[in-house]
Amino acid sequence: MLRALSVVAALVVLSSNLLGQTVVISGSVKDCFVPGQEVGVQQLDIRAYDPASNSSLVGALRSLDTLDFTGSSATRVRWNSAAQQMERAWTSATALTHDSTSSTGNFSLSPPSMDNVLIFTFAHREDVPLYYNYQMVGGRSNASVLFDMSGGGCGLYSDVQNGGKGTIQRTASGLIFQDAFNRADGAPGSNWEIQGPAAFWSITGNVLKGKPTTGGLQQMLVASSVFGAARGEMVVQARMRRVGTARTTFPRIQARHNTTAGSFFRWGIANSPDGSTDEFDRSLAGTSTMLNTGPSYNGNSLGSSSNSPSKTVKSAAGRTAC
Amino acid sequence: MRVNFTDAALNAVTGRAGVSTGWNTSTSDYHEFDDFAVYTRNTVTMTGLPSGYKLRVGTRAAAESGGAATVDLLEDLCPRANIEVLNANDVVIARLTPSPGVWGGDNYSYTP
Repeated sequence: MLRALSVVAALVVLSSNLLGQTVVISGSVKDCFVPGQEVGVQQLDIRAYDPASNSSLVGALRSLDTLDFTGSSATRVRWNSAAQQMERAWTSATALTHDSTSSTGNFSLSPPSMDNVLIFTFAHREDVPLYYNYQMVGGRSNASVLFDMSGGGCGLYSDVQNGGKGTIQRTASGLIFQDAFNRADGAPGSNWEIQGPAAFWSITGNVLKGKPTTGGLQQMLVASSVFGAARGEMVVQARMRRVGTARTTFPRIQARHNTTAGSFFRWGIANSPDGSTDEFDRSLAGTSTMLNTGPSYNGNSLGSSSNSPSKTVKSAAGRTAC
Repeated sequence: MRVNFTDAALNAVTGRAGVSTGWNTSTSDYHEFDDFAVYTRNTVTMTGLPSGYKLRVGTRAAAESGGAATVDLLEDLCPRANIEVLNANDVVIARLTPSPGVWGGDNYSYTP
Protein backbone atom coordinates (compact mmCIF):
# COMPACT_ATOMS: atom_id res chain seq x y z
CA MET A 1 0.00 0.00 0.00
CA LEU A 2 1.32 3.36 -0.94
CA ARG A 3 1.45 6.14 1.56
CA ALA A 4 -0.57 9.17 0.87
CA LEU A 5 1.59 11.97 -0.32
CA SER A 6 0.52 15.16 -1.98
CA VAL A 7 2.46 17.66 -3.90
CA VAL A 8 1.66 20.83 -5.73
CA ALA A 9 3.82 22.85 -8.04
CA ALA A 10 3.42 26.14 -9.77
CA LEU A 11 5.36 27.53 -12.67
CA VAL A 12 5.71 31.12 -13.72
CA VAL A 13 7.30 32.43 -16.88
CA LEU A 14 8.42 35.89 -16.01
CA SER A 15 9.34 38.23 -18.80
CA SER A 16 9.18 41.30 -16.61
CA ASN A 17 8.84 40.43 -13.00
CA LEU A 18 7.00 43.02 -11.01
CA LEU A 19 8.72 42.72 -7.67
CA GLY A 20 6.48 42.86 -4.70
CA GLN A 21 3.26 42.37 -6.65
CA THR A 22 1.27 39.21 -6.31
CA VAL A 23 -1.90 37.79 -7.78
CA VAL A 24 -4.48 35.57 -6.14
CA ILE A 25 -5.18 32.21 -7.75
CA SER A 26 -7.99 30.51 -5.95
CA GLY A 27 -9.80 27.35 -6.79
CA SER A 28 -11.15 24.03 -5.71
CA VAL A 29 -10.39 20.35 -6.16
CA LYS A 30 -13.26 17.96 -6.82
CA ASP A 31 -13.59 14.24 -7.28
CA CYS A 32 -16.29 11.63 -7.60
CA PHE A 33 -15.27 8.72 -5.41
CA VAL A 34 -18.84 7.53 -5.77
CA PRO A 35 -20.09 7.96 -9.35
CA GLY A 36 -22.27 11.01 -9.65
CA GLN A 37 -21.46 12.30 -6.16
CA GLU A 38 -19.10 15.24 -6.44
CA VAL A 39 -17.09 16.07 -3.33
CA GLY A 40 -14.25 18.42 -2.46
CA VAL A 41 -10.86 16.78 -1.96
CA GLN A 42 -9.36 17.93 1.31
CA GLN A 43 -5.76 18.09 2.53
CA LEU A 44 -4.38 18.01 -0.96
CA ASP A 45 -1.17 19.95 -1.53
CA ILE A 46 -1.44 22.61 -4.25
CA ARG A 47 1.69 24.31 -5.48
CA ALA A 48 2.59 27.05 -7.92
CA TYR A 49 5.72 26.69 -10.09
CA ASP A 50 7.69 28.82 -12.48
CA PRO A 51 7.49 27.01 -15.85
CA ALA A 52 10.67 28.59 -17.17
CA SER A 53 12.82 27.16 -14.42
CA ASN A 54 10.98 23.83 -14.26
CA SER A 55 10.88 22.75 -17.87
CA SER A 56 11.45 19.08 -17.00
CA LEU A 57 8.29 19.07 -14.89
CA VAL A 58 6.30 20.77 -17.63
CA GLY A 59 7.70 18.36 -20.21
CA ALA A 60 6.76 15.33 -18.13
CA LEU A 61 3.21 16.62 -17.65
CA ARG A 62 2.83 17.28 -21.35
CA SER A 63 4.06 13.76 -22.09
CA LEU A 64 1.56 12.26 -19.69
CA ASP A 65 -1.22 14.10 -21.51
CA THR A 66 -0.49 12.14 -24.63
CA LEU A 67 -0.13 8.69 -23.03
CA ASP A 68 -2.69 6.20 -21.81
CA PHE A 69 -1.98 4.12 -18.74
CA THR A 70 -4.43 1.48 -19.89
CA GLY A 71 -3.08 1.38 -23.44
CA SER A 72 -0.70 -1.08 -25.05
CA SER A 73 2.31 -2.44 -23.19
CA ALA A 74 4.60 -0.12 -25.15
CA THR A 75 2.41 2.84 -24.21
CA ARG A 76 2.43 1.82 -20.56
CA VAL A 77 6.23 1.72 -20.60
CA ARG A 78 6.33 5.28 -21.90
CA TRP A 79 3.66 6.31 -19.41
CA ASN A 80 5.67 4.86 -16.51
CA SER A 81 8.78 6.66 -17.74
CA ALA A 82 6.93 9.97 -17.94
CA ALA A 83 5.38 9.41 -14.52
CA GLN A 84 8.79 8.76 -12.97
CA GLN A 85 10.22 11.81 -14.70
CA MET A 86 7.36 13.91 -13.37
CA GLU A 87 7.88 12.67 -9.84
CA ARG A 88 11.65 13.32 -10.00
CA ALA A 89 11.03 16.80 -11.36
CA TRP A 90 8.51 17.50 -8.64
CA THR A 91 10.97 16.35 -5.96
CA SER A 92 13.65 18.74 -7.17
CA ALA A 93 11.42 21.68 -8.05
CA THR A 94 11.04 24.72 -5.84
CA ALA A 95 7.53 26.04 -5.52
CA LEU A 96 6.74 29.72 -5.54
CA THR A 97 4.01 29.17 -3.02
CA HIS A 98 1.69 26.43 -1.86
CA ASP A 99 -1.52 25.73 0.01
CA SER A 100 -3.45 22.75 1.33
CA THR A 101 -7.07 22.26 0.33
CA SER A 102 -9.72 22.91 2.94
CA SER A 103 -12.39 20.50 4.09
CA THR A 104 -14.43 21.55 1.07
CA GLY A 105 -11.53 21.25 -1.37
CA ASN A 106 -10.85 24.97 -1.74
CA PHE A 107 -7.43 26.59 -1.93
CA SER A 108 -5.84 30.00 -2.49
CA LEU A 109 -2.36 30.86 -3.75
CA SER A 110 -0.59 34.21 -4.01
CA PRO A 111 2.37 33.83 -6.39
CA PRO A 112 4.34 36.81 -7.72
CA SER A 113 2.83 38.53 -10.73
CA MET A 114 4.24 37.00 -13.92
CA ASP A 115 3.13 35.92 -17.37
CA ASN A 116 2.21 32.31 -16.60
CA VAL A 117 1.95 30.14 -13.54
CA LEU A 118 1.73 26.37 -13.38
CA ILE A 119 -0.68 25.15 -10.72
CA PHE A 120 0.02 21.53 -9.93
CA THR A 121 -1.23 18.95 -7.49
CA PHE A 122 0.04 15.41 -7.03
CA ALA A 123 -0.58 12.72 -4.45
CA HIS A 124 0.10 9.03 -4.01
CA ARG A 125 -3.13 7.11 -3.66
CA GLU A 126 -3.40 3.37 -3.42
CA ASP A 127 -6.38 3.21 -5.75
CA VAL A 128 -5.09 5.47 -8.51
CA PRO A 129 -1.91 4.95 -10.59
CA LEU A 130 -1.09 8.66 -10.58
CA TYR A 131 -3.32 11.10 -8.74
CA TYR A 132 -2.41 14.46 -10.17
CA ASN A 133 -3.68 17.43 -12.09
CA TYR A 134 -2.29 20.67 -13.37
CA GLN A 135 -3.25 23.83 -15.16
CA MET A 136 -1.28 26.68 -16.68
CA VAL A 137 -2.89 29.99 -15.91
CA GLY A 138 -2.13 33.58 -16.68
CA GLY A 139 -0.26 35.11 -13.78
CA ARG A 140 -0.83 38.79 -14.40
CA SER A 141 -4.29 38.91 -12.88
CA ASN A 142 -6.35 37.02 -10.34
CA ALA A 143 -7.70 33.72 -11.61
CA SER A 144 -9.71 30.72 -10.49
CA VAL A 145 -8.97 27.07 -11.16
CA LEU A 146 -11.11 23.96 -10.96
CA PHE A 147 -9.39 20.59 -10.76
CA ASP A 148 -11.54 17.57 -11.57
CA MET A 149 -9.46 14.72 -10.21
CA SER A 150 -11.79 12.17 -11.78
CA GLY A 151 -10.36 13.00 -15.19
CA GLY A 152 -13.69 14.29 -16.45
CA GLY A 153 -15.91 11.67 -14.86
CA CYS A 154 -17.52 14.25 -12.60
CA GLY A 155 -18.67 16.21 -15.61
CA LEU A 156 -17.29 19.40 -14.14
CA TYR A 157 -15.89 20.82 -17.33
CA SER A 158 -18.91 22.88 -18.28
CA ASP A 159 -16.74 25.09 -20.39
CA VAL A 160 -13.14 25.93 -20.95
CA GLN A 161 -13.22 28.74 -18.45
CA ASN A 162 -14.11 26.27 -15.75
CA GLY A 163 -11.07 24.18 -16.32
CA GLY A 164 -10.31 20.99 -18.13
CA LYS A 165 -7.11 20.00 -19.84
CA GLY A 166 -6.42 22.18 -22.77
CA THR A 167 -8.44 24.80 -24.53
CA ILE A 168 -11.20 24.54 -27.11
CA GLN A 169 -11.74 27.53 -29.32
CA ARG A 170 -14.17 28.11 -32.14
CA THR A 171 -12.21 29.27 -35.15
CA ALA A 172 -15.06 29.54 -37.65
CA SER A 173 -18.82 29.71 -37.23
CA GLY A 174 -21.16 27.74 -39.44
CA LEU A 175 -24.31 29.60 -38.48
CA ILE A 176 -25.59 31.88 -41.21
CA PHE A 177 -29.01 32.78 -39.92
CA GLN A 178 -31.31 31.78 -37.10
CA ASP A 179 -34.81 32.81 -36.13
CA ALA A 180 -36.77 31.02 -33.43
CA PHE A 181 -39.51 33.66 -33.67
CA ASN A 182 -39.32 34.16 -29.93
CA ARG A 183 -40.27 37.80 -29.83
CA ALA A 184 -43.25 40.01 -29.52
CA ASP A 185 -46.10 39.09 -31.76
CA GLY A 186 -46.25 40.89 -35.05
CA ALA A 187 -44.62 41.00 -38.45
CA PRO A 188 -41.52 38.86 -39.20
CA GLY A 189 -39.14 41.83 -39.27
CA SER A 190 -36.49 43.34 -41.51
CA ASN A 191 -34.35 40.20 -41.78
CA TRP A 192 -37.12 38.65 -43.82
CA GLU A 193 -38.18 39.54 -47.34
CA ILE A 194 -41.83 38.71 -47.95
CA GLN A 195 -42.86 37.84 -51.48
CA GLY A 196 -46.60 38.14 -51.64
CA PRO A 197 -49.08 39.73 -49.26
CA ALA A 198 -47.39 40.76 -46.03
CA ALA A 199 -50.62 40.13 -44.18
CA PHE A 200 -50.15 36.44 -44.89
CA TRP A 201 -47.40 36.14 -42.26
CA SER A 202 -47.41 36.89 -38.55
CA ILE A 203 -45.70 35.81 -35.38
CA THR A 204 -48.12 34.66 -32.74
CA GLY A 205 -47.25 32.81 -29.57
CA ASN A 206 -43.55 32.61 -30.53
CA VAL A 207 -44.38 30.74 -33.73
CA LEU A 208 -44.40 32.02 -37.30
CA LYS A 209 -47.79 31.52 -38.87
CA GLY A 210 -48.77 31.72 -42.49
CA LYS A 211 -52.46 32.11 -43.06
CA PRO A 212 -53.71 31.87 -46.63
CA THR A 213 -55.95 34.68 -47.62
CA THR A 214 -55.32 34.90 -51.31
CA GLY A 215 -54.12 32.85 -54.25
CA GLY A 216 -50.46 32.60 -55.23
CA LEU A 217 -47.26 31.10 -53.85
CA GLN A 218 -46.57 32.62 -50.45
CA GLN A 219 -42.87 32.93 -49.66
CA MET A 220 -40.77 34.50 -46.97
CA LEU A 221 -37.03 34.59 -47.64
CA VAL A 222 -34.11 35.61 -45.50
CA ALA A 223 -32.78 38.89 -46.83
CA SER A 224 -29.95 38.40 -49.31
CA SER A 225 -27.74 40.78 -47.35
CA VAL A 226 -27.63 38.23 -44.54
CA PHE A 227 -26.04 35.56 -46.73
CA GLY A 228 -23.32 37.47 -48.51
CA ALA A 229 -21.60 35.60 -51.33
CA ALA A 230 -23.02 32.60 -53.13
CA ARG A 231 -22.03 29.26 -51.69
CA GLY A 232 -21.97 25.69 -52.88
CA GLU A 233 -23.71 24.17 -49.92
CA MET A 234 -25.93 25.04 -47.03
CA VAL A 235 -28.28 23.34 -44.58
CA VAL A 236 -31.77 24.66 -43.90
CA GLN A 237 -33.86 23.48 -40.99
CA ALA A 238 -37.21 24.32 -39.45
CA ARG A 239 -39.97 22.77 -37.50
CA MET A 240 -43.30 23.01 -39.25
CA ARG A 241 -46.90 21.97 -39.00
CA ARG A 242 -50.00 22.25 -41.10
CA VAL A 243 -53.26 22.99 -39.38
CA GLY A 244 -56.50 22.46 -41.22
CA THR A 245 -58.10 20.06 -43.62
CA ALA A 246 -57.41 21.38 -47.09
CA ARG A 247 -54.89 19.36 -49.11
CA THR A 248 -53.93 21.94 -51.68
CA THR A 249 -51.22 23.71 -49.77
CA PHE A 250 -48.44 22.71 -47.41
CA PRO A 251 -45.53 24.26 -45.45
CA ARG A 252 -42.04 23.97 -46.90
CA ILE A 253 -38.50 25.14 -46.41
CA GLN A 254 -36.54 26.18 -49.45
CA ALA A 255 -33.19 27.26 -50.83
CA ARG A 256 -32.56 29.12 -54.04
CA HIS A 257 -29.91 28.62 -56.66
CA ASN A 258 -29.03 30.68 -59.64
CA THR A 259 -29.48 28.61 -62.75
CA THR A 260 -32.65 30.47 -63.53
CA ALA A 261 -34.08 33.43 -61.79
CA GLY A 262 -36.52 32.26 -59.24
CA SER A 263 -35.66 28.56 -59.34
CA PHE A 264 -35.28 26.90 -55.99
CA PHE A 265 -35.34 23.69 -54.06
CA ARG A 266 -38.27 23.14 -51.81
CA TRP A 267 -38.85 20.50 -49.18
CA GLY A 268 -41.89 20.16 -47.01
CA ILE A 269 -44.92 18.30 -45.94
CA ALA A 270 -46.43 16.89 -49.06
CA ASN A 271 -49.75 17.33 -50.63
CA SER A 272 -51.27 14.09 -49.43
CA PRO A 273 -50.39 13.57 -45.82
CA ASP A 274 -52.88 10.79 -45.48
CA GLY A 275 -50.31 8.34 -46.82
CA SER A 276 -51.57 8.02 -50.35
CA THR A 277 -48.37 9.54 -51.69
CA ASP A 278 -45.00 10.56 -50.31
CA GLU A 279 -45.31 12.72 -47.27
CA PHE A 280 -42.39 14.90 -48.20
CA ASP A 281 -42.15 16.71 -51.44
CA ARG A 282 -39.14 18.09 -53.25
CA SER A 283 -39.80 20.38 -56.11
CA LEU A 284 -37.39 20.74 -59.02
CA ALA A 285 -34.43 18.55 -59.77
CA GLY A 286 -31.16 19.25 -58.03
CA THR A 287 -28.76 18.03 -55.43
CA SER A 288 -30.43 18.13 -52.11
CA THR A 289 -30.45 15.65 -49.29
CA MET A 290 -33.07 15.35 -46.65
CA LEU A 291 -31.13 15.12 -43.42
CA ASN A 292 -33.74 15.26 -40.82
CA THR A 293 -35.93 12.55 -40.91
CA GLY A 294 -35.60 9.74 -38.65
CA PRO A 295 -38.76 8.71 -37.14
CA SER A 296 -38.63 12.23 -37.00
CA TYR A 297 -41.21 14.16 -38.69
CA ASN A 298 -43.34 14.21 -35.62
CA GLY A 299 -40.31 14.66 -33.40
CA ASN A 300 -39.36 17.81 -35.21
CA SER A 301 -42.74 19.11 -36.08
CA LEU A 302 -44.44 21.64 -33.95
CA GLY A 303 -46.73 19.01 -32.65
CA SER A 304 -49.22 16.41 -33.65
CA SER A 305 -51.92 17.22 -36.08
CA SER A 306 -54.43 15.34 -38.08
CA ASN A 307 -52.27 16.08 -41.07
CA SER A 308 -49.00 14.85 -39.62
CA PRO A 309 -47.49 12.31 -41.99
CA SER A 310 -45.93 9.11 -40.84
CA LYS A 311 -45.12 7.15 -43.95
CA THR A 312 -41.46 6.36 -44.63
CA VAL A 313 -40.02 7.40 -47.94
CA LYS A 314 -36.54 7.62 -49.43
CA SER A 315 -34.92 10.90 -50.16
CA ALA A 316 -33.04 11.56 -53.35
CA ALA A 317 -29.76 10.62 -51.74
CA GLY A 318 -31.11 7.43 -50.31
CA ARG A 319 -31.44 8.43 -46.73
CA THR A 320 -34.53 7.33 -44.94
CA ALA A 321 -37.09 10.00 -44.49
CA CYS A 322 -40.20 9.71 -42.44
CA MET B 1 -36.86 19.01 -40.81
CA ARG B 2 -33.46 19.71 -42.30
CA VAL B 3 -32.25 19.64 -45.85
CA ASN B 4 -28.68 19.85 -47.08
CA PHE B 5 -28.52 21.71 -50.38
CA THR B 6 -25.43 21.27 -52.50
CA ASP B 7 -25.00 22.83 -55.85
CA ALA B 8 -21.27 23.17 -56.15
CA ALA B 9 -20.67 21.81 -59.63
CA LEU B 10 -22.25 24.45 -61.75
CA ASN B 11 -24.55 26.80 -60.06
CA ALA B 12 -23.71 27.65 -56.50
CA VAL B 13 -26.50 28.34 -54.12
CA THR B 14 -27.16 32.03 -54.26
CA GLY B 15 -27.64 32.33 -50.58
CA ARG B 16 -31.37 32.62 -50.35
CA ALA B 17 -33.43 30.45 -48.10
CA GLY B 18 -36.77 30.70 -46.45
CA VAL B 19 -40.20 29.21 -46.03
CA SER B 20 -43.16 28.92 -48.32
CA THR B 21 -46.65 27.55 -48.26
CA GLY B 22 -48.14 27.43 -51.71
CA TRP B 23 -51.57 28.90 -52.22
CA ASN B 24 -54.96 28.26 -50.85
CA THR B 25 -58.31 29.93 -50.76
CA SER B 26 -59.39 28.27 -47.56
CA THR B 27 -59.31 30.62 -44.63
CA SER B 28 -59.47 27.82 -42.10
CA ASP B 29 -56.02 26.43 -42.85
CA TYR B 30 -52.72 27.86 -41.72
CA HIS B 31 -49.12 26.75 -41.40
CA GLU B 32 -46.73 27.08 -38.50
CA PHE B 33 -42.93 27.35 -38.51
CA ASP B 34 -40.43 27.47 -35.68
CA ASP B 35 -36.67 27.17 -35.09
CA PHE B 36 -35.73 28.20 -38.60
CA ALA B 37 -31.97 28.21 -39.24
CA VAL B 38 -29.46 28.16 -42.07
CA TYR B 39 -25.87 27.02 -41.70
CA THR B 40 -23.00 26.20 -43.95
CA ARG B 41 -22.56 22.43 -43.62
CA ASN B 42 -23.78 19.41 -41.71
CA THR B 43 -20.42 18.63 -40.13
CA VAL B 44 -18.36 19.98 -37.22
CA THR B 45 -14.57 19.87 -37.39
CA MET B 46 -11.82 20.12 -34.79
CA THR B 47 -8.06 20.35 -35.29
CA GLY B 48 -5.15 20.01 -32.89
CA LEU B 49 -6.21 16.70 -31.37
CA PRO B 50 -3.49 14.42 -29.95
CA SER B 51 -3.21 10.90 -31.28
CA GLY B 52 -6.09 8.68 -30.21
CA TYR B 53 -8.33 11.51 -29.07
CA LYS B 54 -11.93 11.95 -30.19
CA LEU B 55 -14.30 14.77 -30.94
CA ARG B 56 -17.87 14.43 -29.64
CA VAL B 57 -20.94 16.53 -30.40
CA GLY B 58 -24.03 15.32 -28.60
CA THR B 59 -24.06 11.56 -28.97
CA ARG B 60 -21.96 11.51 -32.12
CA ALA B 61 -18.20 11.06 -31.97
CA ALA B 62 -15.33 10.78 -34.42
CA ALA B 63 -11.73 9.71 -33.87
CA GLU B 64 -8.91 11.99 -34.89
CA SER B 65 -6.91 11.35 -38.02
CA GLY B 66 -3.85 13.42 -38.60
CA GLY B 67 -4.80 15.57 -35.64
CA ALA B 68 -8.26 16.45 -36.96
CA ALA B 69 -11.71 14.94 -36.54
CA THR B 70 -15.04 15.63 -38.23
CA VAL B 71 -18.44 14.73 -36.81
CA ASP B 72 -21.39 14.36 -39.17
CA LEU B 73 -24.46 15.64 -37.37
CA LEU B 74 -26.76 13.45 -39.49
CA GLU B 75 -30.33 13.93 -38.25
CA ASP B 76 -29.51 16.03 -35.20
CA LEU B 77 -31.27 19.35 -35.01
CA CYS B 78 -29.00 22.33 -34.40
CA PRO B 79 -27.79 23.90 -32.26
CA ARG B 80 -26.17 21.29 -30.06
CA ALA B 81 -25.32 22.38 -26.54
CA ASN B 82 -21.62 21.60 -26.31
CA ILE B 83 -18.56 20.11 -27.94
CA GLU B 84 -16.17 17.75 -26.16
CA VAL B 85 -12.68 16.35 -26.45
CA LEU B 86 -12.27 12.75 -25.30
CA ASN B 87 -9.06 10.86 -24.75
CA ALA B 88 -8.46 7.32 -25.98
CA ASN B 89 -10.39 5.95 -23.01
CA ASP B 90 -13.42 8.04 -23.88
CA VAL B 91 -12.89 10.24 -20.83
CA VAL B 92 -13.98 13.84 -21.33
CA ILE B 93 -10.85 15.95 -21.24
CA ALA B 94 -12.33 19.30 -22.19
CA ARG B 95 -15.74 20.67 -22.97
CA LEU B 96 -16.92 23.93 -24.46
CA THR B 97 -20.46 25.28 -24.27
CA PRO B 98 -20.34 28.05 -26.84
CA SER B 99 -22.90 30.73 -27.46
CA PRO B 100 -25.12 30.44 -29.46
CA GLY B 101 -24.50 26.69 -29.46
CA VAL B 102 -22.71 24.28 -31.79
CA TRP B 103 -23.81 24.51 -35.42
CA GLY B 104 -23.04 22.54 -38.53
CA GLY B 105 -20.12 24.14 -40.31
CA ASP B 106 -18.42 25.20 -37.08
CA ASN B 107 -14.65 24.72 -36.90
CA TYR B 108 -12.83 24.35 -33.58
CA SER B 109 -9.25 24.00 -32.46
CA TYR B 110 -7.97 22.18 -29.41
CA THR B 111 -4.78 23.14 -27.61
CA PRO B 112 -3.66 20.46 -25.09
